[in-house]
Amino acid sequence: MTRLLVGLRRFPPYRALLELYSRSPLLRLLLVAFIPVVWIAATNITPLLQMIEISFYEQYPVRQGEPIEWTLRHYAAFFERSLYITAFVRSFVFASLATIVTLVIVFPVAYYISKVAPKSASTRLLLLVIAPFWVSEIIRSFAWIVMLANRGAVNSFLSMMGLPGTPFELLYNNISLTIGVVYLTSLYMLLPLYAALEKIDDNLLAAAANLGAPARQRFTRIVLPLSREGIVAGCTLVFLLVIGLYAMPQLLGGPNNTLFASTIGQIFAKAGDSWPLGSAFSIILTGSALAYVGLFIALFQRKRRGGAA
Amino acid sequence: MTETVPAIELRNISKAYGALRVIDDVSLRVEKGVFITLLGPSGCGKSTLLRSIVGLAQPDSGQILVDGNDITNAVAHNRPVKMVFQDYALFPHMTVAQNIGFGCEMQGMSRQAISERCQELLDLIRLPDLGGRFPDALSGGQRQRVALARALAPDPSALLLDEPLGALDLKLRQDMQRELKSIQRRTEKTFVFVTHDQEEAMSMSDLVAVMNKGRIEQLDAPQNVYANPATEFVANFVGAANLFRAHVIAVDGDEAKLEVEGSEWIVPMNRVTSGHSLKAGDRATVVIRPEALTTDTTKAGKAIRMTGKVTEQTYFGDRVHLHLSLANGRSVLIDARPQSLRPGVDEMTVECAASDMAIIVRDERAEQS
Amino acid sequence: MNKLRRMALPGLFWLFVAYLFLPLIVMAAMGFRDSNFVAFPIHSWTTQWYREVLFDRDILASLWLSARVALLSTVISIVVGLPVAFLTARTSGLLRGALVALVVLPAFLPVVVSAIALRIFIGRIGLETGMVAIAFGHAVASMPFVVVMVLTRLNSMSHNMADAARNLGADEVIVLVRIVLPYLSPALLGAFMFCMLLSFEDFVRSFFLGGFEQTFPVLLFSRLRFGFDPGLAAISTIILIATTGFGLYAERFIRTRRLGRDTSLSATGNTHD
Repeated sequence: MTRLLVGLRRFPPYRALLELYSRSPLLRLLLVAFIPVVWIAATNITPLLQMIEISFYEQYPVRQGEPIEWTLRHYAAFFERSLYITAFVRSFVFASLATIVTLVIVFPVAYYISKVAPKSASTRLLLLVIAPFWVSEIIRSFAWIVMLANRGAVNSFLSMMGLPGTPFELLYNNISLTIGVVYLTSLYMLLPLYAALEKIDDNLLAAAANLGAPARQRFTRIVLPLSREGIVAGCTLVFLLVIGLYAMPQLLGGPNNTLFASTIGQIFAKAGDSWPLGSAFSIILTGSALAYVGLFIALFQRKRRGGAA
Repeated sequence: MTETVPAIELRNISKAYGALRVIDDVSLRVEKGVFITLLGPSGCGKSTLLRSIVGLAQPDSGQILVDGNDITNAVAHNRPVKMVFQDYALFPHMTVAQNIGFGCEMQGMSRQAISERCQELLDLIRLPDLGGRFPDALSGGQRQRVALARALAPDPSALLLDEPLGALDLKLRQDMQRELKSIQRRTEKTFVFVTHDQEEAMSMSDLVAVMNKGRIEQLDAPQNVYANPATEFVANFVGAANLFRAHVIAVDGDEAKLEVEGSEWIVPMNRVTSGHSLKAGDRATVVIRPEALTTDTTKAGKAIRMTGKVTEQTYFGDRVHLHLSLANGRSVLIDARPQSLRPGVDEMTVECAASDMAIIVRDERAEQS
Repeated sequence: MNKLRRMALPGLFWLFVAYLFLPLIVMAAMGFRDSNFVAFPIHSWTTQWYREVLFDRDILASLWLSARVALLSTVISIVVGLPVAFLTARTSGLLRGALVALVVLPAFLPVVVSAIALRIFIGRIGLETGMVAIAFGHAVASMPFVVVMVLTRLNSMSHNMADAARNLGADEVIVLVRIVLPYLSPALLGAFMFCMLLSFEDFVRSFFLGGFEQTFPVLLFSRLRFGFDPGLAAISTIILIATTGFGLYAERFIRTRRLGRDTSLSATGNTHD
């Protein structure tokens, strides 16, 4: 391969091309930037802009020969029906709660792996916990269906233990959905937390203990402030993941507890003429979610700066 | 007789980054087989000069000739000068032998020839059996030598070394200095070595070019750079020095009378080391090395004498550094033998033989710029 | 009390491990139930479900589609991600910040929104829903990860390495082929496996961008909505084991490549010649 490339240099045109490339920083920049600029424009920017555009269309697709009619009515539709607003609020409340639950469950796990378990084992423990996450959302939902169904593993176990009142209605409610969602999100919480906790020098804790700080103080004064970045990153990831969930709420959640992402998805799953409505709802969801997360991040960062001063 | 063609010749090279002139009109001839060191503080332009020679930086103006050929506009991969990088820049995914052979491979040499050349160089750097290893599995000193061999393998017109010993610890660095010098002698290659470490420059080089602010301040043999500094910067940068600002009162044959910080000194004209000659009214600087000031005040000949109080002593075993505070308030550094000190006495008189000092004429214009 | 505290953390950890694995194990067991219904307890066992699903035409077709989509999307995201990483590495300051923000944007959008926006986009450029559209959607989603992985590796590369190669006579093509790409190869292989898994797992994008043919997660989703039989548990278990094995291997591969380098350094770094 190299030999071929070296040999190619004997041909003057190729040689000239190489020299041109080496000499011209502009040409180099153009060549390197071409694919990225085209791709980012086409995939990361244009679809969003088109979505925004369509959300103002009276109807889509626009009929041949007819002028485009602009309207705000799809945005207004959101506020007109309590069904939509309820789903929207439910989504934000649920995603916030799911994020907190994930944090509370995962923090001790990340802390144990990074700080308490013997160093030699920590990589293996981490792998053990990461392993199930290579399984798709759908399979994981199904696994919980098998667990929680009326004739599922849990109910079967409980009735075997002689508990009266079985089968319990464990599936298709917010509890079962939360159990499934946390199952899905814990990795996204675990990795940033682990990374942040692992960075904390063990000597800091030893020094704090040496200075007379009891375990609770060491945790609140050293561990928590130093892992704040990991907590913020993990919570942000998890929140954005949950707010966009589509499949799992339909498989594990209750029929009367529709989340906003499902509402949007169902609008789109219908015929094309409902796309402007779906687009408007998508933009409402995205805008609010990013603003919500941005507010959350800003709040924490200001706190940190204040603490440092 | 034909004039010898220098291995590298730089003609009026300049380069600026915005308002900052990193190389300021540098001209330099490096004869074949010479070990020359560019010595200067970081940011003096020495590395940029080196990178300009290999085409990894492009000077704004000037000409670069290698073996008499103008390569100013040649692209980097076509230049016959090879370089050893500060961090070695060994290719981690290639074995030592593949690293060393890379340059030959780029020249389209046959496999057989490349492997012979590799072995030759592995022998030269005394690592004959390590060709199959990866750079990760080498010690710092070994990596350094492999980097050297890799640059030497394509038989370059000259070898440029950019602070190659900086990452090594003191002991290893001293060994490597000897080794480098010996390899340079055996291969008879032209070495252009860049460092900020004056001892390194002194111990290895045939010639030292002291650089400051993009200019070469002095180009000379190491002993001359130390004994006969051409500028205040050189005197200060190479070794320790006591500098006395002076006014020339009068010049009389081979002697000059100076006014130095309130007293009058008679100094020999042949100790003027700055190239210009001295005349009445000039500003000058007298350079006195700490070891030139001795407590032995019985010497014959002309000498400058000063008396003061010892304010600080630093003991180094075979030497002791004293700070002497003179009556006029200035402090002078003295490098003395411990035996020559008399305990309990804090006032002492030292003198410097007139032949041990160096006199630099200060260029008013240069100081203003 | 002290003892209790020392036991608490490992206890919580293993409880979490149980939470992760128990449902999967139960599901695997369900695949052996000799009945047409998903229910406990299991009285009689059979391997029939596991054998049967391997010959299920629809499942095989969906797996084949998933595999093609995964490969195509991975190739696209690496081919695009590589120059994006190069470009990002060259920029600095505000420009770099803006570029990175644009690159990672898809990862921060709610998945449903991102999928729908792409559905609108392909409709407008006239691309049919189906294999290519799904692969395109997956490439959009996984490209940021490629960029991050390549950029991480690129940052650890000495600036002098490419310069050293040029100095030794390598032109820009050879620098790319012999120096930069081999140096990046651990990151590229890691990115390859990561993208394959990401694509294979994805449901939402496949659902909205897919046509008549269904990828495996979409097929599973639609079957789950009709009802469950132990066969679904069986095929889920098979896929679970395959992807987990692949994922663990990828994880280990990336880790040992990186660790191997570090440990060999520390083991020999102190030996003097």
